[in-house]
Amino acid sequence: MRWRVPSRPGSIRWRRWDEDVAVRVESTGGTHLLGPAAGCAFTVLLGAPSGMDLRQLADTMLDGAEPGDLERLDAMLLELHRLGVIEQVPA
Amino acid sequence: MIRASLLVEVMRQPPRSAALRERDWDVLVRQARRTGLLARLAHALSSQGVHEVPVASRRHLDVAVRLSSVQRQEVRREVALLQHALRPLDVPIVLMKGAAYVMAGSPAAEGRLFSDLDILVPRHRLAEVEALLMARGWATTHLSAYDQRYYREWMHELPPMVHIHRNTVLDVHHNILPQTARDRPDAALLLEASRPIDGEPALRVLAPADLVLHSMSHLFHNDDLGHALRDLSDLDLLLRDRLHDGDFWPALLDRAEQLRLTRPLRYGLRYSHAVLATPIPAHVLRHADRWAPSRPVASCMDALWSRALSPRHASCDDLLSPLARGALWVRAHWLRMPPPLLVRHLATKALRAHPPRQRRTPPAAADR
Amino acid sequence: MIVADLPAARLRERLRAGGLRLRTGPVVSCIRSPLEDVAAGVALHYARHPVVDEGTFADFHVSVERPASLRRWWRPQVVFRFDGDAPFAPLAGDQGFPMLEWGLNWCVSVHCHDYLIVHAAAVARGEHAVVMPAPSGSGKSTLCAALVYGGGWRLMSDELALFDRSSGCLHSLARPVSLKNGSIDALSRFAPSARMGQVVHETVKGSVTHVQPPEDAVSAVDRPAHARWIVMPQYRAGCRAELRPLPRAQAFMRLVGNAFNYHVHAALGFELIADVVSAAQCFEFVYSDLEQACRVFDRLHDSS
Repeated sequence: MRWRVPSRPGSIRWRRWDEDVAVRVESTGGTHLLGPAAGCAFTVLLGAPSGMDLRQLADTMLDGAEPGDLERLDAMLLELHRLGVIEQVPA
Repeated sequence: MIRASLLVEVMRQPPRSAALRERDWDVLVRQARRTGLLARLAHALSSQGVHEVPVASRRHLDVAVRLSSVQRQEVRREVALLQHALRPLDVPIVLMKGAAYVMAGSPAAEGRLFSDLDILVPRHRLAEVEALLMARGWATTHLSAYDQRYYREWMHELPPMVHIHRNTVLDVHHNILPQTARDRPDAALLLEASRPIDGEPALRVLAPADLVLHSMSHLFHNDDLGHALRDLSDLDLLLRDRLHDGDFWPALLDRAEQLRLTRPLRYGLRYSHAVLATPIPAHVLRHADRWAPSRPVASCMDALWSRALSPRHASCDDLLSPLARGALWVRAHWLRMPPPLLVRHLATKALRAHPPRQRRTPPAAADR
Repeated sequence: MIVADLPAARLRERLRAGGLRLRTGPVVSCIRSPLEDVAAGVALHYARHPVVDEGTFADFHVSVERPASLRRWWRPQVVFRFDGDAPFAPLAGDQGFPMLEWGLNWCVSVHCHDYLIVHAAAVARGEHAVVMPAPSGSGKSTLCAALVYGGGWRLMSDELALFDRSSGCLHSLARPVSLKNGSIDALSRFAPSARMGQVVHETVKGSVTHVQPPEDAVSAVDRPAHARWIVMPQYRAGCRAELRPLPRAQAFMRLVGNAFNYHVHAALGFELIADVVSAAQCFEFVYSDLEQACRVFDRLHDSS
């Protein structure tokens, strides 16, 4: 499964202040504050329009991921997906 | 008919607004706001090339247009979420009224304010639909045993459902008129004739003639006349959208007979033409007049409806207006329920401390 | 012409009949009421506000009157009407003026969607404003009143911060500040010259009164300001007045959370609040003594 930030113009608006990122999702109308970890994942994905999978994301964000880290990251990505902040790259 | 209000005059002929003084605009905006037609008025003005609007009024019109546009977007979102929620059931979801106008791109969506989402589903699948909705975050309302019965046994819908997170309201219907109504269409016919929406195959809307007939039956059976003129305006736009379609009128007349909605059809055509100058072909009006009630009843209805279809504002009421609305309210109930039930229902409603909309403390008072 | 120019009898006549139209910044309200306490409240608190001709467009037509029921005479009540509709339950009979104020706030917050409206106090010096988003119980109104009646700041609003959609500037209403319970005494001690109206007891939130908007606030009502500081106030008994930096992202979410009509402005609302927060310094503020609080705000202003 590869993840990316929705690519359609206007579908996501965001602002970053230091480590925090505020995001507005057009499709749901929801506005969210992403904490440091989620904000980091989001920022990394912004830089990868073709998307990244869990392992690539972990390697970029963390210096050597432990098994527990991957699980937590996965759960976070699913939550971001549920909120509409990120989407799956179609196969 | 009583003298047309300022709002109706300007909606019929937007260029007439050029002659309005500032104090007239004050009344016009208030009439429109009270009736829920502020955005529709703005749309009528701009679509007729009237751009000279005094600044103070322009502010209110622009706000209404923006609100309408934001709500349209919210309707689209809500429909998408509903569709997603009900996907496992593979049940035809037929959108009605506001949601239908938006998703089908109908001109009746322009300048409209939206509140509840209305859908029609087959009666025999109602229980499954309700169960799945509750599992997906919609909660039922009107929890008294009496109200539950009112909706489930006597009306044509489930009690309104509210989504616990989004606070949006969903009305699930299995017909367009109550079980207890004397002339009731066969819901299967409505479902059969429904059309899928371009690009959204899982969603359907009523066929064009049925959309019009539903609008008419809703208006002329509704006991809440607060927005009667707004509903008539929706009907006017639906009809105008069909003027080019030569097949539409005969189909509409036939369908009204088939669905036993000839009386609302006659009123709908008559009042849309009389109040909002909808250019309905004369032969169609004549044909529909065959379904008029007796002369005394017809002129009584004209007197009642001309008042009910005025903007619900002090500037438009005459002495008879409150009586007229009262009489039509009773009539709406009369049409929806057989007499013995009717007496029981009205008596119960009057006795219970029916919480009016007003039971809120002013926000600033509560928030300090 | 201002309200103070109207003789008392004329004022009451207008209120009873066709309505008194007055302007509060960008809003013209047509007010009707047969009640003496409303008339007295209007005469005091809106003394310096412009009266507008009856042929002029009014944004809101409101009235405060007795309900048309038994409650007209027996344990009388007052009801607020917006062009004939009553959006709220009636209140007890002597709460006419507070009801008018709450009703006028409601009118703006529910209808003025040409602004992004935040539930906050806003006060200005020159072109720069402090915006104080308000959880209840924070002491925002007391602090606002102190800043305005002795702290050298100009009142824009104690309740409704109006951000213009296109420019992001704050616009002023310069309407009376409302105070409750302990704040009434606290402000009387701090600023004895502040003119207060009748204290109304036993409202939903205890004793309530309003303070007349200062002259400079009304005369400068049409001067917009930029939000330079976002401050979340919290009264804490015995605490020394202190500003603590607040991460901008949190200030952003607090503004969004306190905005009445954020959803109406959609993407533009997000960008507007984000711009405001990016251009402002953001703080949390604890205080107990009003004098100290004012000095902290002086230093804040001077250091920028």
